[in-house]
Amino acid sequence: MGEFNWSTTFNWSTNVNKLTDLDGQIIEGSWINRAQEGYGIGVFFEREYAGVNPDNGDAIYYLNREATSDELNSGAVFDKNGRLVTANYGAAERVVIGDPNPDWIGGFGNNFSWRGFDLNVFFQFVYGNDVYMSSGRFTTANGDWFDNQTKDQMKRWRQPGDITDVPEARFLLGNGAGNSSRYISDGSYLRLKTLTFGYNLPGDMVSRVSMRSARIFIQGTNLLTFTNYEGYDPEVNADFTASNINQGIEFYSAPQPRTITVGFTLGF
Amino acid sequence: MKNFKMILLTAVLGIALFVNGCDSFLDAEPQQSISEDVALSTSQNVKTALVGAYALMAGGTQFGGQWFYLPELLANDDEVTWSGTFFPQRDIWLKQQQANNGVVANTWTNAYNTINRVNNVLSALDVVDEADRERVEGEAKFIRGTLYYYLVNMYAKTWGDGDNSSNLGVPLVTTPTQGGIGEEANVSRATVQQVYTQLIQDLTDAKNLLPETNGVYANTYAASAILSRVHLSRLEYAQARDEAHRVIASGRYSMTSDYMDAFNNDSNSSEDVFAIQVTAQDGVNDMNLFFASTANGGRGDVDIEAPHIALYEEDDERLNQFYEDATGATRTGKFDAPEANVLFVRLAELHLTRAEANFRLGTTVGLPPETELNAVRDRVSLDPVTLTSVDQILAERRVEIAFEGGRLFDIKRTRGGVGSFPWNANILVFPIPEREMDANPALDGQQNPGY
Repeated sequence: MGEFNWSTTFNWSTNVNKLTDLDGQIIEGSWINRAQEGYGIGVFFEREYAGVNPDNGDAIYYLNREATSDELNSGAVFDKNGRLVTANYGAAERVVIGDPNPDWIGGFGNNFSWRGFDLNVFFQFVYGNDVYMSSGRFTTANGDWFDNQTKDQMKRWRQPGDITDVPEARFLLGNGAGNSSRYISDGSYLRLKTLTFGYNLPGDMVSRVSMRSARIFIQGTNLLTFTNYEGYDPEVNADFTASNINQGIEFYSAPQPRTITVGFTLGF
Repeated sequence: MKNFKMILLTAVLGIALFVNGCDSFLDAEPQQSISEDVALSTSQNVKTALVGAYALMAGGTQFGGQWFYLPELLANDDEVTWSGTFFPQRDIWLKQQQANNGVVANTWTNAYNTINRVNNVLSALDVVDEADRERVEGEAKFIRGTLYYYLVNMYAKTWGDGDNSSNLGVPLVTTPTQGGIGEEANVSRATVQQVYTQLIQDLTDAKNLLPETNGVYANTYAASAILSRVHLSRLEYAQARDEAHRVIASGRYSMTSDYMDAFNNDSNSSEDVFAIQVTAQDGVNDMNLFFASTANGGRGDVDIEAPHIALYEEDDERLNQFYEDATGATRTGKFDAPEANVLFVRLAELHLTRAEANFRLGTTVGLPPETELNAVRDRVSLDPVTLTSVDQILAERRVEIAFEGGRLFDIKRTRGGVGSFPWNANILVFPIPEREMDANPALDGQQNPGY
């Protein structure tokens, strides 16, 4: 038992995958994931949300194709910041709007010990993946249905001129509640996965009561998370449909619990 | 050194064994499926494949539910509320479904999957015992013809809405897709006319090939009953009347004495001409799932509203079907037993078809239309009426078969409407599913208008 010890561990990995040949086929997952040549497996393929039309509160989507002259003349398709948009969900083309595959993942840990004390701090991180928050179609849908709404829906469009990305609340009318990039969120995070602080009682003290060792510790998991993810917890996947294609889906997925454990170990 | 040799020997042997083992390991036959040549090799196997077609046809996406309740959701304006949480069904009820609607997609997919099973059976008729061959062919064609009738009605313009010979119907697939998907699997949409020609041929063949009794499977009268619906949709009243009459005149079916006895039956009632079989072990009843209260095994997703109740006359015993559940919503009790058979065609519908056709044509095949209408009314303790307008028969039909899947078809053929939507509105036709448009280049440019 030296005076002071410090060791550190670090791991980092990246997994690059790209589908090169599916014989031209597209394999669709049960959510909005798909396997398509030229992309990583399980990319999200849906309509691209363009926010809200400030004039009338309609949810709008990027057209992502050429418009017909009828569409332009009728005003069904119009320009927003140099791109064509439409309030007609069905008219917008789907594009790749996200990728559940992270660019890299890893973790680092530090072990400190001083006299009888030891401290272990372990962080894990994931960077560059998207999560599709499909439960948002219920919970973050500007009052489309009876579900309680997330508080960001307070920013909904109310009167002409309002600049917001939450459409006007229209009960039952599906204003912006369709699958789209509206519900994509960056799943990158850095998380203090475990932190353990322990104390080993001095040897002469424990041998007096006929023991070899005695240690008391306190351990916490998921104590801190640094993320821009909008849902409960970026470290989730709706496991009831997870497959090699259906990845990165959140559907009312319960967050990881934060736990604090106090314990002792005795050696005889 | 000796140790080293032992390790080397073990390693070499191990690799040799592993490499040896690989061949048979990789060549394993699938344990959960058999190949087409085995599945269609013997008479018994082909009959088993036919049962497999029934099984898929009876699923929740097909006649175990969606072919009946989805049209009802589309056909009802303020008569019902979809109070459930499922988006796809809600969007259909709101008449705002999109091409990526999940149930629009899986209804289509499983219909074609069923048709493929049937086509496989039909491709192997020569190995079926001669004694059973006609029956097997008849049942297979019954399933295919019936599915094409529902497909063309839900995914294409109504018969007579413009030019049937140029309006797009649905892809016609009458040969099995075997050994994987190739170019030939990319079939474009046939015209409405072509689809009807095919399905009438199938159902007519089925009618001619099938026996009078066939257990719970389709018999000749089931084929006639569907044919009467087909001809009604085409406004061919004489044929609709004659097919209905053929079933009624067979004397094999009778209306139950009490209206509610026609529902929630574990085995076919005297009134069922054809029904989807559900038991405690097998089959699903998704009509129960969505219409019944939670106490009765359902989700309680379809609430019946006052404008529907107002359609009934005061003393109508059919009102007995309605009850209030624990949530305070009104539900129909037609589907209150989770393990009951799913209604497909009841005799009462055929009586009303025959009466309507007779009235429209000024004929009295079987019974004078007024007598026949009053017979249906008499069962539910309603006084007889003097028949002066076809609307009386249509009004009777509307409440008699309410929620059983026929309303949209009746609205379209009578050129009615749903709320503010006329009978030929784009939204009353399902989109071709987006996944289908993605997968099949032959459908490029063939999406239904409005999607």
